[in-house]
This record gives sequence, C-alpha cells and structure tokens, in this order.
Amino acid sequence: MIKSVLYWSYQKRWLLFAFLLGALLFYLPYPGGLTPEGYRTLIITVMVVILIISEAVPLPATGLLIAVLQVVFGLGSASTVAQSYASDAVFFIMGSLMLAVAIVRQGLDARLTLGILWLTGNRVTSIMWGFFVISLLLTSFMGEHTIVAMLLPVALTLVRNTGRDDQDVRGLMSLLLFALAYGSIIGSFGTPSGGARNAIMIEYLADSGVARMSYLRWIIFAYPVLLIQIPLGGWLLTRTFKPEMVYLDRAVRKLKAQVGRTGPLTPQQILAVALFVLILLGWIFLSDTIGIGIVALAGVFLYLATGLVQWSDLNQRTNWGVVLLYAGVISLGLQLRDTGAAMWLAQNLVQVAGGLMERFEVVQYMLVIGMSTLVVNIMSPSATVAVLGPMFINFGGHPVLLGMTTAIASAFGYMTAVGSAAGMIIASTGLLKPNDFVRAGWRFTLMSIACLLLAIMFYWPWLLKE
Amino acid sequence: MRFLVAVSSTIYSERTLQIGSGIADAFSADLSVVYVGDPPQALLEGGVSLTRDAMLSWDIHHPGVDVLRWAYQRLQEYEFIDPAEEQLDPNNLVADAGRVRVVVPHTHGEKIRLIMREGDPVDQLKQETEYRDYQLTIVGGGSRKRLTRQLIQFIDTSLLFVKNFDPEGKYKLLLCVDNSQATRRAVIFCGTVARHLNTSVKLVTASKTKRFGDDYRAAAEWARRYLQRQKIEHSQYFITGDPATVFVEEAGSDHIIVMGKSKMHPLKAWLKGTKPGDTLLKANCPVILVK
Repeated sequence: MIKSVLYWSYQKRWLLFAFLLGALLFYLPYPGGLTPEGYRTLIITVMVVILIISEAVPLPATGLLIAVLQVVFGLGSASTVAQSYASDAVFFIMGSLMLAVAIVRQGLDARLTLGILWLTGNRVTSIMWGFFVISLLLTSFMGEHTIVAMLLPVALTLVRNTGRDDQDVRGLMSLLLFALAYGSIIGSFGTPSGGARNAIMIEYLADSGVARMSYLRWIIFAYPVLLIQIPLGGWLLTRTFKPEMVYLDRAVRKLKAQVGRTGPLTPQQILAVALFVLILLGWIFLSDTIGIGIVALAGVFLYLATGLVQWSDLNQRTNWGVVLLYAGVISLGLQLRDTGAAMWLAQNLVQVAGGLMERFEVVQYMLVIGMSTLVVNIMSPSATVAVLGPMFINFGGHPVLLGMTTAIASAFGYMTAVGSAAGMIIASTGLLKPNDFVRAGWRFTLMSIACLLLAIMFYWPWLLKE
Repeated sequence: MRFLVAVSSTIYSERTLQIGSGIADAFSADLSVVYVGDPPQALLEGGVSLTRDAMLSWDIHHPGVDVLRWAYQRLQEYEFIDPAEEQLDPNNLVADAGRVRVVVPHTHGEKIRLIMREGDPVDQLKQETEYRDYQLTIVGGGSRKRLTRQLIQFIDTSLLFVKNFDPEGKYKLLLCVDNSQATRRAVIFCGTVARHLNTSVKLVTASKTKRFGDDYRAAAEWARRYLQRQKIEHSQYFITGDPATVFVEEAGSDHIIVMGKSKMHPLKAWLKGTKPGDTLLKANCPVILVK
C-alpha cells in the first residue's frame, strides 16, 4: 500500500507540485497593482505551464483544467469561458491538423522527391540545399509537420540506399535531417498558415484592437526575414555537419527507381494539389474577411467532399487533445489580457530592465526575443506565443512589431527536440543524439536572432512609415 | 519461468541481451525482450505519428521495431532460438494493453516475446511486469542513481543489472548473506546460476561491527549447507565494514553479485536508500537483486 502511494506520488510529483504551488499562491497576499482576477489568472498560468512542460497529466486534461479553474476562480461564467474556447485561431489549429493528414495521405512525397532530385542532381551538398530550400518554402504555407512527414522518409531512404550502416554515415544523415528540420523551422514563420502560433498572434492583435494583420501583410513583414536566412542557414549546415561522401550516385539512382515505380500523377493527386492551391488563395484573399481558420476548415470540407480523405482517417490521426489544450491556453491568454495580468507582468519586466528599455528601444525587442527563444526550447512554439504573447504586446513599444517579434522568435526552437514539430519528428527516428541539436542549434539561434534584429531595426520601421 | 530483458538500442544493449539470454537458458525460462523508447512530446505527438505512418510506405519502421529485429537476430546467434528460424516480419505488429508486440514466427511465440513500449522507463517496465507474471527483469546500466533506486523500489520482480559485463570474462558469484527474508531465495537463485555457469560461489556476510548476530550466522550457515548439498564449490567469509563497500571490494570486476532485497520499510528505503541500492551504484560488475 505504502509502496503504491509512494509510486503514485513520484509519478505525479509535478501534478502535486502544481496544485500545492497554486494553493500556496492563492493564499498569499495579492501583489500591488494587480486585480484579484488578474492574480488568479497568473496562478492558473503558472500551474498550466508546469503541467504542459512536465506532462504530468494528459494534455487534454490540462485543457479541461483551464476551463474548470477559470470558472471556479470566478474569472467568468461557464458560458463566457466556453465562448473563449472557440476562436478563429482554434479553428485554424483544428483545420491545419486535419489538412496535414489529408495532404500527407495523397502520396505526393514521391512527386516531391523527383522534383528535388531533378533540381539538385547527385551531389550531397546540392541535395542538402534542395531539402533545405524546398522544405523552407513549402513549410511557410503548409506547416512543419506536413512537409517533414512527406520529406523525412525520402531523406532516410536516400541515406539507407548508400548501403552503409547508419553509424558510418552519421554526418550525411545529420546533414540531411537537419536541413529538413531547420528549413521547416525557418519557413514556419513566413506566412500565417506556416504555424499555429502565427494564427494565435493574429488573433491576439485583432482582439486587442491593435491591428488586423492580413495574410499578405504578414508575408510582407516576415518573408524577408526568412529569405535572408536561406544562404546563411545552408552555409551553416555545411559548416556544422560533414558528410562522409561527396556524391550519392547509387543512392539517388535507387531512389529514382523506387519513386519511378509509383507511375505518373493520378487525377486524385492533381485534385489534391489544386485544392491546396485554392486554400492558399483563400488564405491570401479571404482570411482578412472570413478568418484564416474558416478557410482551413473550408479546405478540410473540400478534401472530405471530394473523397480525397475519409473522415475515419482524419478522426483517427488528428490529435484532438492538442486542439482542446490550445483552446484552453488561448482562452487563458485572453484572460491574461482582460484581467490586466499581462499588462502588470509587462510593466514589472520593464521596471526590472531599469530604464534600459525606455532609453534603447532595441532592448525590449531583445528581451522579447531572448525570452521567447528560451521558452520555446522548453515548451513548443504555439504554447509559447499563447502564454507570452499577451504580455509582450503590452511592453509599451509598437504592438504589431512586438507581436511579430514574439511570433517569429517563438520559431527559434533549434536547440532541443521539443522546440519545434520538425525537431521532434527528426528526433523520433532515434538516429540523432540530443547534443546534435545543440551543436547546430546555437549557430542557427544566433543567425536567426541577428536577422530578426536587423528586420526590427531597419526593415519594419520602414514598412510602418509606408 | 518468465524473464524480461529491457533493451534500448543496438549499441548499448548487446551485453544485456547476451547475459539475459544466458541466464534465461540456465533457468529454461521464456524470455521477453522489451524495447522502451522515449515518447515524443505530447504537444508534438500528432506530427510524429503522421510521419511514422508515412514512413511505413517507404519501408522504414519505428526505431523500436529495428532494435527488436536486431535482438531477434542476436538471440539466433546465441542459439537461444533456432538460427534456422525465419526472419521477423516488421509489419506484423499487434497492439494490446498500451504496448505493441512484434509477432514472432512459428513456435517461438512462447519462448520469446518482442515488445515495444514508449514512456518513462520505470513506469513502462512496471506496467510490463504487472501485465505478465515475470520472475526476473534484466536491465543495463546501474550507474544512474535515481533510475536505479526507482527500479529497485518499484519493480516487483527480481532484477539483474548488467553493469560492466565482459562477454569474454569468466565470472564467479559473490553471494551476500544477511538476515533479510529474501536471502534464502537469493541463495537458491545463486545455486542455479552457479550450476549453469559451472562456477564457484563466494559467500560473504558483512557487518558494520565486529560482532555478527546469531541471525546473520544462522543465515550464513544455511547458505553454506545449501551450496554444499548442491555440490557447488564455495568459500565463506565474515567481514567487518560497511556492507556495500565490502561487497563491492570483494567482488572486484570478476564476480556477479547476488543479493536479496532489503527488508527496510518502503518509506525509509525511499528516503535513505538501501544496501542493495548502494552496492549496485558502487559495483563494477553485474548485480542480481533477488526479491
């Protein structure tokens, strides 16, 4: 009996810690300048962050707990809280998860492979550039996991086609896998549909009455930051990982033969691509009026209606728990803003910086970048934006620039596997070591921060004047 | 009897598998090989499972399936199973009770089982040992303090920690004898292993003071008589000093230490640690903890 209790307590130590800390904070005196509602929202935020990072309970349970605590702590009625769980950002997360399943199921990976190899030839560095640039560009519209799910098997097949043991081609393997992952990470902030965090930030900016960021306006702000990283990122990859061979003649030949067996494009595949182009056009031209999430859901409807994907497939492979969690976290983010807790946190951070932020505007952006980068390497990009976003857009600088900075810096999860969907996927192959992420990650982190700071200092102010 | 051997990769698990199959052979036990992998972070799990689905169409399998396929080949090489047996089909998987089983061809389904799990290693091994009735769990390492203490405390089967095992080495057995209830089981277990390995046993009773209590002496005498009856070559020592240090020093790197589980109250064991735990952390050789 005692052993069972001990075991349960150990397994659930973070859950117990979260609740004990929550109870302790609840009975402590409220800090000055913060409303009781704001303070309780902060308590829930602390508990939720602990539960997300530790995964002490299944994520959907954390999503449910947010609603329960908001009502129990008197932050809103059941109906108000329920309403805050549904938003365009939540629709987008739901839609993009289902779209990923729908697209990956079409077997377009073989076409993509042929396209990349046609462009790159057999030279290892060219293939690396091919994976890096293609994944970067496609991810900016489709989302990381869709592209990585399609291209990772290709990269692994190419490595295995060399006929050598995995350990003997670690350099080649790391080069290709990181080209794919880091290309996807950089691409993910290029457009609002590149990642859920972008949609969350658009929602926060619009809900705060700060600005409505259209799909095209986001691209104008973010895409140059992405494009400038293509040559730098590719160069960094070649400096970090040294492949064991220069050419992949045999491996490419075998891969082409494998892919060639799949035959020409089928009408279904053509329709799948056409539908995606339609969705993309919808995002560009309609998201400002009907919302990015609604366009994504319309896309899912079209894939289902045309029979390109079955509901059972979508139902089985979509992680509904993540949707529930993000719905909760976004609702909590809105609570942080509405109760003034986000503003209070922002003001305290400004005070801690001791006037530096007022004297040098760039300091506040550096703080936003630093904190976002740190948190994303522990907690995942969307959760980072959902929790930190409301605070950062209240920092006192230009809210749009601060919002964009938060969203973009939340992509810099290069150093750990949990920092991005792409990183987690390549880590799940079991072929990389955690220090591979650190080895390449610190270089990419510095590069991305430098590029973002350049945009903040020179490009974005110019855009705002226009 | 059923034994469970935990593997994590083809690089680090070879020795664990080798000694595990040897011990299972000694007891004519069925052997389950369990791969416990790190789970993807729950927030990003959807992308990982989508990718794994996509990889199947390229004939690329879950890393755990590759490790289990390697383990199956190794067991054929060690002749634990018939080397002429056909290869595994990596696509023939059965999901049940939160785990995935790779179906083993033909009649070996009972003699060996290949299981894949993802999650916290202690939790997964505990679930596996509770799902089927195992008598011994064989794991590698034994140098990570927290993990080792948790395994000792929460896994209900006997445990073999394969630490610094040299496949070419000729091992003797060091049997730690004290007044714990599990000592008799440890003696019997040790006797079976000694017969199979055709090796001698060094009986060591350690006490922190110069005086050895009657219960210690009685246990030591029982152990000596048992080994004598079994015609196993043995020698006996009573040594004063910290038990864990004594066992480790006497064992060196050419013994396998066999000891019974601690009689300490679970809460005290959790807070203070136990003699077997301390011995295991300090040892430079494999350790068997009999429960």
